[in-house]
Amino acid sequence: MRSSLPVSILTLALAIPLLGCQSLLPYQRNSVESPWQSFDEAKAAFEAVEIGSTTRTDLATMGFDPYTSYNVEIVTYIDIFRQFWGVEPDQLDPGIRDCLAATVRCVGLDIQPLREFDEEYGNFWLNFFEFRTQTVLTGWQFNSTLVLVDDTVVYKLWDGNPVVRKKKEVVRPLGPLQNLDIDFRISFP
Amino acid sequence: MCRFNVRRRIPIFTVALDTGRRWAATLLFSMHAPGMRCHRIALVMLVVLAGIAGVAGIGGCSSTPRTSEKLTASNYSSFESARDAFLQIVPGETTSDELRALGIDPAKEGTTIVGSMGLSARLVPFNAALVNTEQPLDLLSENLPQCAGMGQRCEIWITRYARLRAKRRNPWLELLRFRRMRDKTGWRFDGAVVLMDGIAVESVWGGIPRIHELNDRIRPLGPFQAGKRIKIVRNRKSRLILRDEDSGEPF
Repeated sequence: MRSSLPVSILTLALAIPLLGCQSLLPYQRNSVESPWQSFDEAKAAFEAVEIGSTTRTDLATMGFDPYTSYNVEIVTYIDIFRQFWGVEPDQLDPGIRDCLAATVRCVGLDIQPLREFDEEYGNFWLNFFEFRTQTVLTGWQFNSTLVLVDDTVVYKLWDGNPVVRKKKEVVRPLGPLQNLDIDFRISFP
Repeated sequence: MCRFNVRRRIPIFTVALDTGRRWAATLLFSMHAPGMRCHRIALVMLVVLAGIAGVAGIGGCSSTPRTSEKLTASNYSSFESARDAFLQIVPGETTSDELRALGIDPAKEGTTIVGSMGLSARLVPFNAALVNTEQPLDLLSENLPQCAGMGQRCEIWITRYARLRAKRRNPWLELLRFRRMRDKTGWRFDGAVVLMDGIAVESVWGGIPRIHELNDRIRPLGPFQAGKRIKIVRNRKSRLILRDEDSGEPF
């Protein structure tokens, strides 16, 4: 009975490699919620918007309504002015020119949904004792801007990252000893 | 005479939850130590668990860890009520006193006054120097360039009202570092009112009526897995609280 605890710890230590340690590594999910579950869904909804004909009511049915969909930002014409700083007025898109001329009747809608999955992988024991930590970040991000004057879309623009895949590897040759937070000081009397 | 003084930087009240790995290692190594008995290992684990429970008690967790945290506050209860206040502004008629009556008041939280000097700085993007060109301000409504030249007689009231709440799905799993699931919801309202000689001449508003962000971090081995510490610190009211060093957020 006395040796039951060490035996169980040892059993656990031996069992972990057999159980597939990948599942014991930490992971993290981040999301900025939106009506769309993938980059393609978001892009398809955006491409359905037509300049000059799509109205605010149409946008609401497509998921671009700031009062029903999450994380749709309403921006003012001053923010739009700042975004196009440096572009000669005669080179501005006609929609943007209309927006700036309409001033307070112009609003923009910024939608930037995001999905991120940050997962640690590699050798469990090297990770556990912090000798080597490998992480891979996957996901997607879609950024879009719609500009409306009164009730009609006059300008649209999108960019983004359909496939995010970033790898990171941190190697600490001394493992847990590398993090010892000990301060050796010499004091003289 | 030279004397060596070994001093740990970690405060004495540091909760060594992340150092679970260290006690795991200690236990594994100590099993090989001659004379080490099993009940001593059990005792060590009990002491550590009691320590965590005690620390939770000291840290203001006398009931349970807080399930949600209010991140910001405003004098409006919703995005719509802030928007409705702005929609009542009549350019050329609404006075600064009437704005205060609507709740848009620089004396309250969330509203700042920017003079005509600050207006130019806010209109020009910070990277404008890199573009090396000038954008004529007359692209904007006539009020803004006019305001920029009026000196003290023109001011802009810039508002940012927000109500954000970060909800903890399972505070105990978070405290034991198995799972940290945060559900951030709320709204943010941004607005600006241009006042010339105390009369509002223009108002613009925007923001995000519905904010929803999720963050879910899972450590299958909880306190034994890598991660920063949970510390006991004093808050502004000099009360002891637990703080997650990963996020800097209090429990």
